[in-house]
Amino acid sequence: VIVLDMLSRGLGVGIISVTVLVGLALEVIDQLTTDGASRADGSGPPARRPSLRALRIALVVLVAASVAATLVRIFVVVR
Amino acid sequence: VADEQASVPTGWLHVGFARFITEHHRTFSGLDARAYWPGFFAEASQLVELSGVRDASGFLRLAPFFYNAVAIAPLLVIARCVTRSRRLAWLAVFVYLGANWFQQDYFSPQATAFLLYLIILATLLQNIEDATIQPLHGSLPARLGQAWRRLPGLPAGTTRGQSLGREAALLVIAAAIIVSHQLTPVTLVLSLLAFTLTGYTRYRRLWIVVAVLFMAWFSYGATDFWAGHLGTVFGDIGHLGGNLNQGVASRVSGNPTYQAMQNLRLGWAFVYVALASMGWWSLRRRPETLLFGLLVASAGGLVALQSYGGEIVLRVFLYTSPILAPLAARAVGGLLRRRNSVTAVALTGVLAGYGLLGTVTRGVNIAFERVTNDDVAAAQVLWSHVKKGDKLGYLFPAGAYDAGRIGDLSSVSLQQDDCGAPPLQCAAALAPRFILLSRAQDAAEYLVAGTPSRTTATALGPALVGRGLYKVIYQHGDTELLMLTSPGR
Repeated sequence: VIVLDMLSRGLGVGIISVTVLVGLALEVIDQLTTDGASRADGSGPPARRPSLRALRIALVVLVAASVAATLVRIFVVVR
Repeated sequence: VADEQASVPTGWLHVGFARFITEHHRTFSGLDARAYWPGFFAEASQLVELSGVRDASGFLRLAPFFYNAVAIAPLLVIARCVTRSRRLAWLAVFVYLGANWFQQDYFSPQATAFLLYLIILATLLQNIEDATIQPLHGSLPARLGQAWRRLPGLPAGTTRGQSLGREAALLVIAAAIIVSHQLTPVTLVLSLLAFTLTGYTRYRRLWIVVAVLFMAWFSYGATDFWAGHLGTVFGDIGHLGGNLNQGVASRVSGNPTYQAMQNLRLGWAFVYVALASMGWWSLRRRPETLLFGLLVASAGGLVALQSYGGEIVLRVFLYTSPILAPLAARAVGGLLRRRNSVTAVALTGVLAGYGLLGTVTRGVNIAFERVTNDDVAAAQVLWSHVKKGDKLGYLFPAGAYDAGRIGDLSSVSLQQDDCGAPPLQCAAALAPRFILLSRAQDAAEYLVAGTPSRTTATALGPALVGRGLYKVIYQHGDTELLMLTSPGR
């Protein structure tokens, strides 16, 4: 429980912080590189969007890790 | 504003929390669950220091006017996006204010968080109006897939940097909500998710960031709130029937007149929702219909997650009202299509009746939520006598005593249901150092507890003084403060 407590405090806060940073990074890149739809009827050129596949996958993994860290934290406190 | 003092005793308690922060330069952790969401109280404390007033009680009286007046701007934006009509948008503002029976506009974290939520909602909906958005094609699953991947264009006249700056501002507002109130962030995350699912926002990951920040605050910032009673926090999840029952059926109790008024509130809310449903149906050919439905559902879904001490239905009504009001206005707007003397008279009659019903349903609790000058004077006398660890007895938590000496004074209910014996016996047995009695407590006993007497509280004072147990240290009007005659008891 002591080890888990240390992990849930340090690692948990770390994971959550990185998750927020990666989420924000993706948003910044999306906002600064993409105009989005060009015409309301959809006849314009498709939205130009970078792939950023690695970052997207990283975000999904980090969100899952954040949820896990939260559950560990609750477990530790309850114990 | 015209009454002696601001009503709703909980607002006075919030003044007390803000005062605690001003005096101690720290939160009131360990004294109340609200200490773990201190954003609003810290802000109130800052306002007190900046404005140079004695405490936040000066903000109380103007709070309902302030919150409702400021809400008009985002409400107009939301209503214009929903109804696409300037006239109906103003009607929606009237509908919203007239249906404000839930009275969550007193000096409180939820009122502030709700206002911030309105601003986020208005910004996102206005972005839809100003942007080009590619239409969806094909079958329902295909359209859902396209919606998930869709990225709206930049709002007209907005650069990429400005769009990013707007998102950063929304994130700061969301962070303020997260540290100020327990329930609003959940509604906010679900609403942001609704925008992303339907492809109506450029800020596609904002909901994830807000959700993770909320999770972090809940699990690390508010640990003491849920530690030890996790069952209370998570035990209501999935108990839709139980939560609904706590929020509706169990609240209709007490005196028959009070029950009738509660039923009137329910009927009033039902008519409002029915009107909004009609308005929503009339919009069914618009592509944004699903989004409006999901925004209502995201707040309505809270019923499946929490009972919130029996207040969840009330809170759901609060969070759905910015969308329900324009939808209801659209339904009422059918009367506006043909402009002649008959429709003018009919509309005037409908709106007059609506305003009247709104006033009646809002004032149902006023008999025991009203705070008088005597209540405030009694509270000041109480604070001047209190020593750390003292107890205050009452039959119902009414008045302004909570606006000071937070942490020094604890309270004890002398009410029969809480104590297990008649109030006189309770007072004699528990012997709190002070007992506060007032006409508001009489009203609470008569209306809410359903006792046959209209003077349960105020009759207790002479009985205790007559027995030599207590002496009167303040009495004016119908408010009385008693102090134990022999402190060693």
